[in-house]
Amino acid sequence: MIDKESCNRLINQYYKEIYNYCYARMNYDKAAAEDCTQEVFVTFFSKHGKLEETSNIRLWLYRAADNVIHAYFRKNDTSAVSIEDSPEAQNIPDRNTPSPDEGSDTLLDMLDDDERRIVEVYYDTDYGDRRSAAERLGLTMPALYQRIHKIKNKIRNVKSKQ
Amino acid sequence: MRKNILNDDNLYSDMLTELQAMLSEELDKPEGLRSYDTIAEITSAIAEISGGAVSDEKAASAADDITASLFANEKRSMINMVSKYLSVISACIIMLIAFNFVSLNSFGANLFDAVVSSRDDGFVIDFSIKNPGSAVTPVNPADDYTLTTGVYATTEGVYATTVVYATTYTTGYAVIPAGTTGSPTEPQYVADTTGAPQNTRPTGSSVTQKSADTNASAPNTTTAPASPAGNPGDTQGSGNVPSATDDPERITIAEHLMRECQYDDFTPCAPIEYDCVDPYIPLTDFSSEHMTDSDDYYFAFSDEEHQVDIIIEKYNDPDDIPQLIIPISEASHWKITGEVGAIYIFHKDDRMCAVFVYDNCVYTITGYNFDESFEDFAVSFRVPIQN
Repeated sequence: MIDKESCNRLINQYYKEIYNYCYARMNYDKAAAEDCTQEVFVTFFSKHGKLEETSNIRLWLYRAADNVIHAYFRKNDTSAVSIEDSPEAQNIPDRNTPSPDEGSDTLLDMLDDDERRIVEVYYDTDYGDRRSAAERLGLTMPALYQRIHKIKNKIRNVKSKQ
Repeated sequence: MRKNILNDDNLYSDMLTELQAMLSEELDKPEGLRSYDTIAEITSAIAEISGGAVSDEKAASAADDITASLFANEKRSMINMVSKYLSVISACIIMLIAFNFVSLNSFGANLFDAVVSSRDDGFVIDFSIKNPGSAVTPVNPADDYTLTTGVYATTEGVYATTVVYATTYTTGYAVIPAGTTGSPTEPQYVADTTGAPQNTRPTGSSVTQKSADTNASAPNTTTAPASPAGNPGDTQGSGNVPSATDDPERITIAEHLMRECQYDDFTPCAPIEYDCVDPYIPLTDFSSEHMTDSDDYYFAFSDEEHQVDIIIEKYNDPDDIPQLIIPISEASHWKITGEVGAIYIFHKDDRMCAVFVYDNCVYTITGYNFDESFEDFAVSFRVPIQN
């Protein structure tokens, strides 16, 4: 059995990554993702007596996560659902976005040049063109979306304080 | 644009849909071609945008909980192990009797049957169903058959090249002339260890990922290994990957499988027919993992047009064989019988995956950009028979 410190260090290193992977594939169910993430690490350490014997821990963890996720769907007789059908995804905050009003120009004015450029890229391109457009900004697609998300939150926070 | 960001009610759901599409695109790639950095970035974005991300504090707390749970379980498992051994003697007697009957009547039979169930994103194969009643019909010892030369023989034209650990050796099986007939109860070939490894894999070292052009140097030896008689393509100097004068690509798929597994004294099943698959397709990726209950070997062969992935998972105990996931959704699938027993085939577009279990080993053979004849390659896997 691997020593406790090594266990803890490895779990800390990969916990978020494996959790995010499980969460993204399990219909945005936080509780299920937490349970499955735990099972991945328990399974990993039950199979690996020595870390040095494992040439690719990350790959093994992802493989184990795939198995755990499939077992979860099989056990719960569920499958991946679309975002529209996912009760968890229904709570995504943009559904409460306020309608534009007279103050909307002010809200956009508070964006800096980078943020404006990012918003332009997102709304001036569709999915097929967005990747290359993002790359011109030095961003990956996921990074672009995270920036859009932050910008949206920024606008919402300002709006709520008005 | 000025209105979109402010009143785009579908912004987040659209972004999540597109991120899921990106994730699916990445996961649809062969395992060896996936970027786990990309996958991590996509899933991180999904978690953040959908409000499911965990904080650093929460992650640390969860890590502590898991660690505590692991070390609490360790004590319990020791107790279970002791009580398990107390009953093993009586179990052995029953097993010996059972296997005696099995071995008399099921030479070449694969005791593993499986349950295949489909999911939206693929299939799950459960090998825990053991059904001797549906095992392969035993080969009649009186039947004659013709064994084809090829893979299991170091024939002329097969190069014995230096391998990463600076040891040249010839592995494989003795030459069997074409047209040989024989009974499956007699050993057709034996492992030919002529020129056995002069150096074993260094102890304490882990298997590193190797590719045809790796420059990893071997840990020791200063002598140039001798070239086995009858094999053209002599070795070069010690310790290094074959130089340009050698032809490292002239190693068949079967030889690659045997070479890597031989380090662990394990002789795998291997293919002998290559109609649609170039037998010398380059090995572009290899890795192995040695775990408590299994040894896993991953081979990736690829050229400009095709790719063949072979995963061998060797379990210590048949009960340890987990459910196997085939991530090919909406694939045609069927079961055929080869010498190794039941083989499960999954086929969609230009991707075909064959899975079978033999001798506690799970073999997963995946071909990309082949037509249906790839099935013949998968079915041609033969059982190694040794003295």
